[in-house]
Amino acid sequence: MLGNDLIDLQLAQVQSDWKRKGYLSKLFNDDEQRAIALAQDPGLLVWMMWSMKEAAYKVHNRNSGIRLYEPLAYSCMLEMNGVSTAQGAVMKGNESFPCRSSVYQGMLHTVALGRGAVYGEVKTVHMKNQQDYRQAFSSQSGLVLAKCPKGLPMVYDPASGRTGPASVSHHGRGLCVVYLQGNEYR
Amino acid sequence: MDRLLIIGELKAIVSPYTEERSKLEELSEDTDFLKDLKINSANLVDIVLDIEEKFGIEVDNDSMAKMLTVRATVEVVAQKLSGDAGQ
Repeated sequence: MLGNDLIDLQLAQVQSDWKRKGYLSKLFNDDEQRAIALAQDPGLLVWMMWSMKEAAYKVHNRNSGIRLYEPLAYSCMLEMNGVSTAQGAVMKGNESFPCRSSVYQGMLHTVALGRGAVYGEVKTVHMKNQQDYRQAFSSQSGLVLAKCPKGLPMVYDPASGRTGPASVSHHGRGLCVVYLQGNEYR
Repeated sequence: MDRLLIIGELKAIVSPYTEERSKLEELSEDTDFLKDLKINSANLVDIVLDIEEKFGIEVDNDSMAKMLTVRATVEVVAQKLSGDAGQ
């Protein structure tokens, strides 16, 4: 299983005032807030950790079927590589979800993995945000973006007959599809 | 406070965070903030903060966790208001 989250940093600046009183303490624990306060680019770290929590939530939600808005139940550990990429993990109880984040053309994108999934199998397709993204995805990748019987996104390769779990995220100007290459759900 | 009054206040609170105007007009207890109103999840916390300010209550993390629908949110607000009144 995998989950992704895309944030258009330009739109996030307009949509959300993370400096609003009480905002950060509802989303981030003390360690995370301390890291934000010390960061070179606090805004970027806010959205990076938020997208990590969102991506990990997607994996957890899909595995458990549980739908709750509890950002403080997810804690981030990450290491920045340079100014625009990071890797780390999100903890939720006893579970750990490896995460990778990067900034691409003003869009922050994070992929979180569930148990058994590895980054070598992750394929990422960036597109512009559009209504008929399924069609655009097909013409770009040659694959079909569909839903599995449980209603979760999956990709189907008509050439090989293989399927794999997928995750779609869109915000502002961008849309991103990620999927695991393989022939089974994980 | 009456549930209908709470729903009316909620409608005004969520309005700036949604572009789904027809869904907002039809807002009912069944309305889902994310699925129906397409509210950005990073703005849900703004809604929680707005609710705290508007109703003068404090929303704890366990309550916030449930606040994905109008019904659950009305329940949290009504419960906090009655709890405060009883003190």
